[in-house]
Amino acid sequence: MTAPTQDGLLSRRRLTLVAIEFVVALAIAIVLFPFLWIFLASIKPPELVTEPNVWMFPPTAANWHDVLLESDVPKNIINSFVVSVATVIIALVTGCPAAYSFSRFKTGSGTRFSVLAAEMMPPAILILPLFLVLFRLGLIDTLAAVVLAHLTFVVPVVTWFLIGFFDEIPRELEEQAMIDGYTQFQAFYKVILPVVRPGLAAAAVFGFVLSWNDMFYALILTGGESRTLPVAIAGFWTFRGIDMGKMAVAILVAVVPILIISFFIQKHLVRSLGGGAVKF
Amino acid sequence: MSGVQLKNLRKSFGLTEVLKGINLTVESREFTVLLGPSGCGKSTTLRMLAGLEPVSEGEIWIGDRNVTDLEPRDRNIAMVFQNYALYPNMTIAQNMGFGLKAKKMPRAEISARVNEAAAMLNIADLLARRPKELSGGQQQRVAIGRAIVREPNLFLFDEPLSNLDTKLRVEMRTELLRLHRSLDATTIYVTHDQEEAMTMANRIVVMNGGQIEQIGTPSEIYFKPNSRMVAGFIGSPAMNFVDGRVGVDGLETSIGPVAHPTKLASGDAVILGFRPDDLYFPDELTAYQAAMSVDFTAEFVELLGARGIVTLRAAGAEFKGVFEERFLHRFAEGATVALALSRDRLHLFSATSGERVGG
Repeated sequence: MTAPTQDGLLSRRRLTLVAIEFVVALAIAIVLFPFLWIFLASIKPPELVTEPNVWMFPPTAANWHDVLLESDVPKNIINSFVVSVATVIIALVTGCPAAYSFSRFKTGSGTRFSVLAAEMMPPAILILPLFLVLFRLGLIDTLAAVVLAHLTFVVPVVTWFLIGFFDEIPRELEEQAMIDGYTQFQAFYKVILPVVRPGLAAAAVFGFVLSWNDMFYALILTGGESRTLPVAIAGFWTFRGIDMGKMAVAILVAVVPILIISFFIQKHLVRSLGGGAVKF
Repeated sequence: MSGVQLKNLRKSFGLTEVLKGINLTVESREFTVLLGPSGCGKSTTLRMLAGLEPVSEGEIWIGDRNVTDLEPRDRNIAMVFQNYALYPNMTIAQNMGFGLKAKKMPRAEISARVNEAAAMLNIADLLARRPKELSGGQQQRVAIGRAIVREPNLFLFDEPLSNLDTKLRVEMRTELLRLHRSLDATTIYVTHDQEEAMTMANRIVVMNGGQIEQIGTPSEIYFKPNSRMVAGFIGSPAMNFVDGRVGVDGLETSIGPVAHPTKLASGDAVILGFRPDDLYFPDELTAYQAAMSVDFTAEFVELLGARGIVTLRAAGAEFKGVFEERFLHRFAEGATVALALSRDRLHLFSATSGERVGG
């Protein structure tokens, strides 16, 4: 055996690099392929939509035209958007002070995990009482009903998420603010909130996606006017068969907002999910 | 500037009593250091002074105001934390001016005060930066600057130098002292570092187990420690101790008889203490000065530079001695060296209470 030469080491390193690149490329392909496939389905002429193996065909814009201009889908998108944004705003406004108090005050330290109690129950258990309550309140088939239902799982997740962020901030920061002449509440919103902003952004995206993707509650609680996008997408699966082309368009439309938000916020997201959002 | 008075201050967390009645008067303009091992209650005392920790019993007076139940923001104090606690989302200038903003001071005056303090601390060129772009030493200066601009009645420091490296720590020590002189500010400074305490304090308050062991100037604390605890805590290497008993004319100890008059009754158990610096070669002392002479066996020598620490053994116990470098050759491993103790450098403590009983 001879010791590996300089050249040998170099080529081995290059080989490792090539292997890594290959694995990454494969992963990207696996992730992107369904998008490509769905996109192709959305521009296929109706007679070819059920033929997954056909790759060459004259493209058509009929599905896009029908879905975006002549169906309820735009309205469903607005519904979904209103629900998700309202859910996130309420979840942040309530979850943020809750998380702060769980993190800072003795009263919250022992009951921390109770935040997740609703998360531990399957939605199927919650939906029955929820439906009855909302029915009594006359809220069935309204966006408010969906928002209320979504809050049952978005608030705990957002709160739990933020507790971690508040825990990372040294107490001295608000103590310093209190010595500097502020009340504890002023210290919270003038000093602590700005510091935890990346966490708020990450929690907001997280909550938005959860709400945007939900179909279970929305399907049961909405019917006509207030249908959200996931429910509408499922609606293309009728007893006359699946309208694959139109469904494909709706699916792509549903993914776009998530992509846009993730793109603008990815810096925050990576930093906060990777731990150590707040460095001192 | 105002003085501070702690009257029978007590603090309990649940059933554990961490402060057992602290009585302390800090004069106006004095630099007082609270010193003690971790868990002695010094930081709790400081936090109670700042209003960050509620008082269980007793009173806190700053100047002629009873501040015991006041919020931190109403006490007109400034505090520098160990981790500096700079607001990460603000620039240095904003950090320093944040307290003045709370007082609704006009913007022009805030920036004038901030600039003045920044110039004093040599951080004027950093004002537009953010804390994380600064080195530890610079952050430390900002934290001090933020305290200065508020012109408080009282400065509180909670181990402010312990996150700095040794060289910087010594530099900042000097700078803090210079600052204290020029500001003439009443300062209470918490540390577990005895060197910091000795070099900076007008008065040192040694705390242990939630109580004050001794209050005194650095030299009183060093040369006349009130108790065995203070004697053992101050000084590096630590004081040597030998168990003994009061005999007919002097003390009987495990390393031999000591000619040392005491008022104690014959038979009382005592602890004899002597500092490593207070071991002499017999020819250095007069017959009267020498309280005893002991044959030590040298074990090893740690050279510090101009001086060295020698580990010695006698009667089965280990002792430390500090000698000038030119004498260190006498302490070859295994060598027997006769060393004398000086009468006026002995410390005698009661074995039961630990209190100073003579020396």
